Amino acid sequence: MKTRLAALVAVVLASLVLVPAPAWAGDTVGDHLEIASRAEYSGEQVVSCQTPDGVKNAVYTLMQKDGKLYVSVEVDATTTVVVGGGSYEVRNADGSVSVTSVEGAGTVDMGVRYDSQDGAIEQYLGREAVPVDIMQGALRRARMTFDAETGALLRTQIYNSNGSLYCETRFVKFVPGEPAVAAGGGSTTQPLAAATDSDLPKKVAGFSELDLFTFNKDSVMAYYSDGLFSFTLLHSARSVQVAEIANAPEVKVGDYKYKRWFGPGQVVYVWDSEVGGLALLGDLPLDMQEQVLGKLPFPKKPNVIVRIIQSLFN
Amino acid sequence: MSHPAELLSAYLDGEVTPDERRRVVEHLARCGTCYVDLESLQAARAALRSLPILDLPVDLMPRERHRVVPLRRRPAVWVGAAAAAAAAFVALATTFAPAPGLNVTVNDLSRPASARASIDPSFSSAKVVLPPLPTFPEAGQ
Repeated sequence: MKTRLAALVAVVLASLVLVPAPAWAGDTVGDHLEIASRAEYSGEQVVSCQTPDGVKNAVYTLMQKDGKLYVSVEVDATTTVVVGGGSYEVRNADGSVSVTSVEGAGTVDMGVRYDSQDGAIEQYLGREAVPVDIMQGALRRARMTFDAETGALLRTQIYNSNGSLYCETRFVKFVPGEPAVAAGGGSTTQPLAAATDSDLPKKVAGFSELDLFTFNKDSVMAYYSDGLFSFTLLHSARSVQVAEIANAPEVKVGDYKYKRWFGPGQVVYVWDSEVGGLALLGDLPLDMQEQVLGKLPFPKKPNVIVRIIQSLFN
Repeated sequence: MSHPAELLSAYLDGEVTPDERRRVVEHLARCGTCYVDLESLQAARAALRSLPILDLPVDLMPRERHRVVPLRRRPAVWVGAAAAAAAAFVALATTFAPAPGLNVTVNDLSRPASARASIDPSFSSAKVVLPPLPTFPEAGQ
């Protein structure tokens, strides 16, 4: 009897040790993302966003190896951009590489603001996948679909507060396994210097300021995140002009007017406030854009004389 | 590559070699200053082209007999008023004209933003901004 019992215990223990937990076996979305960050794969991803300025699409090539995600895009026949691990590299055809690098001070736990709920296993790209809903109270803010085998994040859907889909990022081609990452040539690295002081708020509509950088010597750039979404705020004593929208008409958000640019996954707002020029770039859903702008210095309204004079120079 | 200021005008005229054109396009994709310069140059040219062509009034055409103008005349009152108005305008313009701004491109913003976002666990390709090639006109147009 004792022998049988010992054998049974041994079998149970062996099964616990030898049978690996599935890659998706995470308790929270933070666990899922942690597992996803260790997966190795390559493939192609499509980003598609429904914006007030129309649909914005982009196609990216992705590779993940050694915990570093390489997002690359062929800008033209001679230039490729590679982003990952705190660096933004522009690789040119002649092998030269221009790198902008940052050192981040920390991250925000997504669990502070969001809860997650795992769904039933489904099929995605012919593979078993686990959908995880990211809930902000009763509101489904995002759905992330993880590959059951590798844990890789296959698809992310972002929702506005009215339930409409804002952006979707999804693999259209996924190859699990170690990718061949091309090494860059001689590089020119521009590390962003950390700034120590700014007048920008430390908390903005549920977002926390994580890092502060010096930008162009006389301006600062602050990075905010709530664990899921993030935005960067440029603050200058001077008026900020963004070339792509220098002549764009202003759009009204809340009670104020801003210049705005939508790209696939990202939005830019530019305005002049009483404390100087500001530019925001982030991946916020539409309702969060309004919430964040509502907590930042508002656009100033120049008086009649200033407007007349400035119109002569614009 | 240094700022190809001398090539921008030739680029707009379509008077650059293929190699120079490639250099200008690559530079414009990364340099907000030159991109804004190119837009200003194009806007100035468009403004010049839009000026109407006027016929010379008959009374300004040369006459056979020129009127004799006295060597000394008292300036009219309106000349003084115009000078005062011009001075007032210059003073106002100096006071209220916008200070030189910080000119950037979306790419200038997205480089550090994307680099920083790539550290976060929630990083995805949706947090990367494509470096958009500027929507400047094709050469020669």
